[in-house]
Amino acid sequence: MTDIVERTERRLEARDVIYEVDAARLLDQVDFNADKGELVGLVGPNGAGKTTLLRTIGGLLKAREGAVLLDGDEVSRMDTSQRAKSIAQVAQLAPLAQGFTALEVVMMGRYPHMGRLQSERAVDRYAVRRALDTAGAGALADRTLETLSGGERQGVFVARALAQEPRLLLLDEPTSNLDINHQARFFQIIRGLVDDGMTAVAAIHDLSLAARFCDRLVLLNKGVVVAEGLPRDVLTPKNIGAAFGVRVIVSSDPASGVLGISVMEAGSVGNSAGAGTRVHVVCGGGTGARLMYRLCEAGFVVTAGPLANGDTDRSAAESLGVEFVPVQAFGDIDSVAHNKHLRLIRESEIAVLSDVAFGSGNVRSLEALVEASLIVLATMEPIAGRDFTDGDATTLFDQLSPVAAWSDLEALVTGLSGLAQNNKGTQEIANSSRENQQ
Amino acid sequence: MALGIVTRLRPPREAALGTRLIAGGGVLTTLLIAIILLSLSTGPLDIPVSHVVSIIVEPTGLHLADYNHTEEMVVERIRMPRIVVGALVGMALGVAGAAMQALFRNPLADPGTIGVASGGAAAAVIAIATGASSLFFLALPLFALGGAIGTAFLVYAIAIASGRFSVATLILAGVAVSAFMGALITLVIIAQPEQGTLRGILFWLAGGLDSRSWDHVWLSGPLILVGGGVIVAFARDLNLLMMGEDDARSMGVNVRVVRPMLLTAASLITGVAVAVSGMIAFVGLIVPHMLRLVFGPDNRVLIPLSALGGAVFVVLADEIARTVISPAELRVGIITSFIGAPFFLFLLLRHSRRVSSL
Repeated sequence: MTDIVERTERRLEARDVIYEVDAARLLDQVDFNADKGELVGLVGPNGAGKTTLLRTIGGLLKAREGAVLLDGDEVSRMDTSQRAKSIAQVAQLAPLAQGFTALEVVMMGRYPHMGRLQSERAVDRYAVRRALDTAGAGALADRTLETLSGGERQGVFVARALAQEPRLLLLDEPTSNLDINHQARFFQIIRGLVDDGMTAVAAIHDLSLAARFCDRLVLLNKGVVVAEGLPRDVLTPKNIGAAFGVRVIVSSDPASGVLGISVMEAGSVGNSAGAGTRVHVVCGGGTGARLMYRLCEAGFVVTAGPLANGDTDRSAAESLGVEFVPVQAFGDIDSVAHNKHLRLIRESEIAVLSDVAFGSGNVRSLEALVEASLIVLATMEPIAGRDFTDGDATTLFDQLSPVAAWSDLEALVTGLSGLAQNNKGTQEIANSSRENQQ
Repeated sequence: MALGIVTRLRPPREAALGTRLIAGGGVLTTLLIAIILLSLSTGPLDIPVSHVVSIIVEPTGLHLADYNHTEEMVVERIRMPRIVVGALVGMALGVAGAAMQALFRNPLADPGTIGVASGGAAAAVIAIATGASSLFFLALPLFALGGAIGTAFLVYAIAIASGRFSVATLILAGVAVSAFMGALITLVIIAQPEQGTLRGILFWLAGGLDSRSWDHVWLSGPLILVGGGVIVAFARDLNLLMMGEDDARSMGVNVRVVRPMLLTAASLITGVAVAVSGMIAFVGLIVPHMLRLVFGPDNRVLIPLSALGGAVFVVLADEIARTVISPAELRVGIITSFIGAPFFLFLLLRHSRRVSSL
């Protein structure tokens, strides 16, 4: 390690931070940064290293390797008082030092600014009063901590942090004990501070909350940064699935654009009979949304055929993290899209055709389906009723040889699981007979 | 204009910090002076308070009343050093108790939490049993002090050797070492054949201030004043430490330096107190609690007031111990528990809602 640290314009920069306890690597080459006026969220499963990273940034833990720089100065080399004037922290649980009034607690934040036997000066009282007001706790000044609600108490601790007059705020799951109203209010206050130039890094459990308030997110898993960027780029079903080991639906509220994350079934990955089997769904116009959801839930690896923008099936596929072939609304399936569709069909073990209607725009997806090895219909209705191509769709449909058809969704999922198992069995027999021949 | 805003914003309770200190300090100081004067005048020889005051102010050249030589001797050589030692011991135990409660974030902590008192007692008891206490003048307090300091280091060493130093390890090590020292004391008592020596041991264990001289004052005074002074100077750090180690560190307290230093100071003054007075129970536990009920938890107020309150309590208990079955004496440690326990329980029941939040 050299002593020469490159100057940086960033407010906070963590470079290749490694932290270990008893040979267990809790942070592995974590590299991230935060600018002035930015709220960065740390997300990830329990034990991912969020708290460890915050403590390392705050100088409470010493990294084994790497450096944490605040405006270019290494945090581990600051003395305690200098550090306390630059970085303040708000923890998940308010400490139990009761009997103190809110004002006395906030005044404690002035510690690094005061001499040992110095009593509070006007400037300290002014800073405390301003911090209380900014944190929305102005009316609580003379109340003792134990008489405050959880939300009010966190407000007081934000005020205490502000009384330190820091450049960087570190928040360790500050709202995990608050109700949704106080969660939002808490982050609105932080958002206001950040918009005025404060830098904040927050470990946040609630992914939707993180997506709503943070400028950027850092997804940690097992001490490693696995994704970083805008909330909607980080919080994909794929990333979340990999980090948390759970299937989720990431939906974007059409009106507000707020991301919503809901879990399908805890620990579902790899549990059901169909787990891991690739199923390709040809759908559209809302005929496949529920189908894809149930298939994902059952553990299938789902892909989808051409879906036009604005189609509800397309939003569903995006929410579920289902790979699909994107096409323009009211346009034809061009050869690029067609080739991608062919590839997805060939890679899948089973193809499912929904109750989708066919017009000139999407008829080529039926053409691609001919390549499928195993076709299942998700409807009993005759094709004629949804053929708007003067018979082209019917002609193509007749070339298919579906092995089964279920109009009931649950029956379909069960049937597909059975087929998947059969398929695996057949392959195993084929493999072993091949080995015997050799 | 800016000044106007600042003045208007002056928060009421923060301004009351000084007020609380002055009010509490005033009341307790007055009480202490009154009890000291009372103690100086009462005993087998009754000396009028006017004579006592006169004897005290005589060195300044003021002559207030006539008194005889015996009275002067009794006040200056017998009663005064005893009372001063009592006041110093009370101060030490009050301050150390408040400091330990803050350091350990535990209302049950007392000056003996990390084994200092029992270590001092064990050394003293062994010294009495072996006759080492009569080897030279002040041998007993010096043995006790050595035992107290040695035990403190032993407990620290054990807590550090455990690999992960924490407050919990320190308390557990203290409890274990205290139990061991307690057993050692019991063993010495049981193995003691001679009635006189046995009585000496039990007397010492019950705590007492009888026949304390100015030498005891010079032995204990400087250490208690310095140790207590350090704790008073770091009262704000104690407030922050009550918020937890992480919080204290992130607000700028150098916990790794401040905490061991304050533990050492509190242990030292406890050891000194035990050395010159034996085991005076309960002072360090209840004095800070009583004061907290009235003046709140801020250590900047609590610690100085605990010094005064501890002094008042011990001097008062000694006055009762001296006079209640006069001319014989009770032990001061018995009185502190006899008065202290019921009074504390009374306060506890009256303020139980607030105590639960300590």
